[in-house]
Amino acid sequence: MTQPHPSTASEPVVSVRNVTNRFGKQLVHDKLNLDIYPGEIFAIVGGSGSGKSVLLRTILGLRKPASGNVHVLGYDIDQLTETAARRVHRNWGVLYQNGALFSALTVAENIELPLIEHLRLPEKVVHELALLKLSMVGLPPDTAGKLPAELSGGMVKRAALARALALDPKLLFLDEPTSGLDPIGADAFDHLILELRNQLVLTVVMITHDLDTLFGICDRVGVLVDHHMIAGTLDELVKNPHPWIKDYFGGARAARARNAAQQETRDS
Amino acid sequence: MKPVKHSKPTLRRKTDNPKDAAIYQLAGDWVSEQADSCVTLLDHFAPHNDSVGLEGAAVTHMDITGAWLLVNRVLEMQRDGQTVTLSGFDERAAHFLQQADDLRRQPVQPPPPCPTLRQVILTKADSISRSLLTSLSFLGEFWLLVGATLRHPGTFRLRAFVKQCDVAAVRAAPIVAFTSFLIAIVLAYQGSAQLQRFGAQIFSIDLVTISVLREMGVLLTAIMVAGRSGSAFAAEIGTMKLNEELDALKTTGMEPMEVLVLPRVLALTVMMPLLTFLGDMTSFVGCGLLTVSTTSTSWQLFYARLTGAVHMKDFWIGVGKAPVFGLMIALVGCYHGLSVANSAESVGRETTNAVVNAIFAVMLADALFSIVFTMIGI
Repeated sequence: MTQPHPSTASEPVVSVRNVTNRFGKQLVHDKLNLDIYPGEIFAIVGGSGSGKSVLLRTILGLRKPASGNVHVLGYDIDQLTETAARRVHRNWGVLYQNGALFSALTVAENIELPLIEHLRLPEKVVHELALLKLSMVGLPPDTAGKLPAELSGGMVKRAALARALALDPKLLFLDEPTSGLDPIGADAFDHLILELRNQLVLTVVMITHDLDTLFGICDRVGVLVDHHMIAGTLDELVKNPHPWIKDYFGGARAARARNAAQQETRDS
Repeated sequence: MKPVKHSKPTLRRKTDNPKDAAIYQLAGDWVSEQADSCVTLLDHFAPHNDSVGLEGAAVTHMDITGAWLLVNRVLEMQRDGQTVTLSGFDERAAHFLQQADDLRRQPVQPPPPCPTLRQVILTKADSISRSLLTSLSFLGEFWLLVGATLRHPGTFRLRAFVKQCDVAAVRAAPIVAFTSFLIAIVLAYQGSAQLQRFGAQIFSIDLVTISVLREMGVLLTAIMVAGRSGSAFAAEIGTMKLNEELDALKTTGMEPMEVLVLPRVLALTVMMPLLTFLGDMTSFVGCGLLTVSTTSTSWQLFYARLTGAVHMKDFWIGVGKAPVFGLMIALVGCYHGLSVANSAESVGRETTNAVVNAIFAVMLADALFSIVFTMIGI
C-alpha cells in the first residue's frame, strides 16, 4: 500500500516449504508453500478449520509439521541451536489473539520481561524502555502499573503489542489483531500497525478476518483453500476463479470494505 | 535472510586537537541488541565543554531504543547547562531521535508512595473481614439451597452428583487404601518396637487398630481427599470462573451453587465414610501383615486380639466424623474456587488455600470432637 515497498526480489523472511500437517487422518496442509518478504504486511485468511492457526503455530515452531520445513529469518525453525533460537526469539514478536499477557504481572512488568531476559540493562533503563514501548502503542503511562485483568479488551491488545515490540523485532506476528475490538478501535489498531511498520521497518504476518484490515493495510494476502495457500496482492486475488476466493472477495461485505479503503486512499 | 549481526556502537571525539569545538562522532549500531554497550558508552560520556556536537553520519543502524538512550543522555547534558547539537543522522535515525525526544519530554508521573504500616494493617484487616463476610454469605447461601432442595427434591442434579462421587471419591479409593495400608505398617512397626521392651508386643495390635479406627483412618483419608479432590474442586471451579463459564451458567438460568457446589459437597459428604471404612480395613491388613511376619503371632491370634480389642464404638466414632470432614473439605474447596479473581495466579493461590484451609479445618474439628467425646465419656 505505502512505502517501504516490499520487494519480491529479496530473500524471504519467512519461507514455508512443502509443509504437510495432519491431525490423525485429517489432512490440514498438503505440501503447502509460502514466502513472506521483508517489509510487507502479509495477511493469512481462510475459512474456519482451514488451518490458519495451525500454520501460524508451525511457523512459530510451536508445532512440528508432519513433513516439510519452515525457515524464519534464515533459520530452520525445527533445527534451532540454542544460540540461533535466542537470535530468532529476540528478532520476532508475537501478539496472541487474547493478548496472552501474564496475568500475575503488571503491564510494565510484562513488557520488561523480554528486555530482562535478553538484554543486560540497569533496572531503571528497563523500566523506562517499557514506558517508551507503552507510549509507542498509544497507551497512557498510568497503565504501566495496572494488572492485565484491569484493562479493557482494546488496551490488552495494545499492551500485548507493546510486549511484542519490546526488543525492536524485525518480524511481527499478529493473530486476529482486531477481533473483539469495536470498529473505531479496530481502525485505530490498523493504523497503529501500519505506522509501526513504516517507522520500524517491520515485516508483519497476521491472521485476520477483518476485511477492512485486509483492504486497508495489507500488501499481500494468502488464502488457505483446499490444504494449499494461494498468495497474491488483493487485485490478483479478486480475479482468482476459485469459488471460495470468489465468495470471500466478491461478497457484499468485501465490496463495501474495498470501496471504503479506496475512498480513504483518495481522501488522504 | 538472517538477522544482521550488529556491531558495537562507538562514540569518539572527532579530532584530538583541543582547540577544535567538541565534536564527537557516533558510529556502529545503536540498537536494542547493543543496548548494554550504549548504556556503558553514554554513562562514561562526560565532556566538559559548554557546547558539544554529536555527528551521526557514521551510524550504521539506529532503532528506537538506541535513539531513546542517546536522547536521554543529551537531555541530561542540556539540564546541566551544556548546548548539544545533533547532526548528520540519516532520515530514519533523525525520526527516531525526534520521537524519543517528544516522549522523553512528556511529564513523568511520580511512582505511588510506599504504604505506611498503618495502611498495610488497615488493608489487611479490611481484606480479612471481607473474606469472613463472603465465606459467611457463601455458607448461608449453601444452607438455604439445601433447604430449598429438601423442599423440592426434583431440582437436585443427580447426574452431577453421581459423576462427582465417581471422580472425587471412587477414583480416590486406591490411593486412600494404599496410604492407610502403609501408615498402619509404620505404626505397627513403631508400636511393636517400643512395646517389646515391656514384653507387651502383642498390644501393638490394640494400639494400631484402635488409633486407626478412632483417629488415624479418618484423618488420613481426609488429608488425601483434601489434597486430591478439594484442590480439584477449587482449580476446576476457579478456571471455569476465569473462562466466564460461571457467568454463562447464570445467564442460562443455572445457579453455580446448585449445579456445581451442591453435587460436589454432597458427593464428598456421602463418600467420605465409605472411603474411611476402606482405609480402616486396609490398615488392618497392613497391621496384620507386619505383626504376623515380624513376630511369632499367627493370623488366628491376630484376629482374636483384634476382635478382642476393638469395639463397634471405636469404629463409629471414626466413621461418624467422616461425613463432617467430607462436607468441610468440599465446602472449603468450592468456596475457594468461587473466590478466584481474574488471573491464573489467583487460581493457584486459591487452590493452595483450599487444601491448607481444608486440612486445618479438619484438624480443628477433630480436636473439638475429641473434647466433646471426652466430656460425654465415649
